[in-house]
Amino acid sequence: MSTRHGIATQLPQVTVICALASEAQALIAHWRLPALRERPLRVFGDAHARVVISGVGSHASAAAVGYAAGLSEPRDDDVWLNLGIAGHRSYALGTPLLAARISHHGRDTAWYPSLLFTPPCAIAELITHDQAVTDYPPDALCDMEAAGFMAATSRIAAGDLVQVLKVVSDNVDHGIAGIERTRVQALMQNALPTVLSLVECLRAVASRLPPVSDDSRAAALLTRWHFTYAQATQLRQLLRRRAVLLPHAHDVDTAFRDCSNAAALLAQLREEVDKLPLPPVSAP
Amino acid sequence: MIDTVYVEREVADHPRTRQVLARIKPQQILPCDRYGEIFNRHNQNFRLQKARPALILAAKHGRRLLPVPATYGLSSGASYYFSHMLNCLYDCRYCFLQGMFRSAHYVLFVNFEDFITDIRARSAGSDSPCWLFSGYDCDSLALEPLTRFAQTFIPACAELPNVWLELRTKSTQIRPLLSLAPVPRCVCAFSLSPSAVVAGFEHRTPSLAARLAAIRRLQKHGWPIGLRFDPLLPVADFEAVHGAFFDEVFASLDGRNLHSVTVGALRLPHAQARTMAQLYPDASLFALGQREHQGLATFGHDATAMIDWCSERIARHVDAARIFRQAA
Repeated sequence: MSTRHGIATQLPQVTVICALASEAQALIAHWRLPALRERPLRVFGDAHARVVISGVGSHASAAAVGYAAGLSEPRDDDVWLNLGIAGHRSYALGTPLLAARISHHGRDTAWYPSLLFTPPCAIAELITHDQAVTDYPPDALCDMEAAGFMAATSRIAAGDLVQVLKVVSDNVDHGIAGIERTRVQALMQNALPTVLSLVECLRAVASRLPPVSDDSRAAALLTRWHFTYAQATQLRQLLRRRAVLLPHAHDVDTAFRDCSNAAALLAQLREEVDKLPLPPVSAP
Repeated sequence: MIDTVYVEREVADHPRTRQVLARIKPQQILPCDRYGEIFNRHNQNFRLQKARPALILAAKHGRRLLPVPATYGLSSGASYYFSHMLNCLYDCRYCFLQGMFRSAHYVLFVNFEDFITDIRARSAGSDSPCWLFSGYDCDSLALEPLTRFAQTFIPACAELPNVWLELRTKSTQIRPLLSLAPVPRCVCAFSLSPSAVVAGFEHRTPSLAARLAAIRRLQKHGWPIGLRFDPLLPVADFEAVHGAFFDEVFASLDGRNLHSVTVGALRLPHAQARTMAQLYPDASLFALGQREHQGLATFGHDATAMIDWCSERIARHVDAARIFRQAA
């Protein structure tokens, strides 16, 4: 398995961005994620998931998204989650809420994470503020990160696989003065089943994407002749088309072994593939 | 069927919004400012959303009636299309909407009255026929129980003596039409394909037999019927499959009592074809060799030959003057 920046390129499928270690601890412990990095940001991860501690604030969250994205090659099925605490006027402490609309206080832009699954908890609007607020809006969560997280993921991730889950840490009856590390840890521990359920929902959605094409068919040919980058791309596309139209066909490696160079192989392969008809479909 | 509904604040109190929400009873109702915030954003995946689309209730602003593309239509008179909805209940693998829209969510424009005002304005002051095509960006009837589109637009258009309306559908939601008196200038146009094509490429659509049964009932009731053999797909054993298909269709329907028949091959703008192939790299249709024809991509067999062959077979049952070849 090759690595980049010390992190396995067998990608973690889920990246979780938390502002504070206390927000992440329950998930890290449950998934038994080893520490991978201490600086510039703390990263915990294995082959299937990673958790990044971003620090507080929307800019910090956006920076953490960019940092995490650069740790490995992107894939279409990468799942991104912003997990943490937030205030709400009326919801009870510990209530997990999935953000259905996210905006930054005082700005026009809004994000609507796709609800392509049955939410594992109630949903709510979320407004990101630059500072902690005690004047709660009538019916919205208040946090300090989600808008930055959404702004950053909207540039680099599949929008349908990005979610924000917040656990209520303060309300009109229990203000922000009471928020301290052990309480946050306890709130997040109690919300862990909801977090895990959400991750499974997102993984199920991601599984509907087409499988990443098997590069083994191209590998043998790529070593036999010299291919430019563009030619290698064309080869992969032609082999994929051929495999779809001729699922039980013989191997290209044997059929085209007499070609003198990559260009000749591509021309011969294209001629064959372009002539292939649709496979028979049967009436029900 | 629809769990999440986004509602533009502008139409939150619109009577049709309230009616639709009452029919759906969604689990989540979320306000938004403009439908484009959700529908047009980047990095959406049509394939993922198609499995569980949300509904967006919105107002249509700007131009509501648009001139039809040059290769679409039945007459040389004024022809327009309009879309009370974007996206479709069905999941036809060849559908150009997959390549055109970023989102698979349904958008329903609830301000039907504004569309009708525009139709009246467009038809006023002229005696020449004005054709209106619905079902370009959606299926005209598939969500009829929810939208009541046909029940609203057919009576409105029937009052306008020079307006012709085409409903384009694969649906069997014909009960509203059977409850109305037939309108001679409203053509119910059904897209038909061989059963093997329906099974392989027209996911979630009614079977061919069910569509033929619906057409028979409408034909008997007196509604003008159009048949749309478009798109033809280059399936294996094309002539055998389509020969049997046309025999089945015209054994079931009165070919001499049709308003029109159109025949066309699958053709897509290159950019849409590319997008669709990226969405469905495992789909056989997009693995086929593509040909360039008048700026559009066609797939597999010679499209003109397919249209020629089918037109000849259809002409055995239908007056040739009623057969319209769509460019390919």
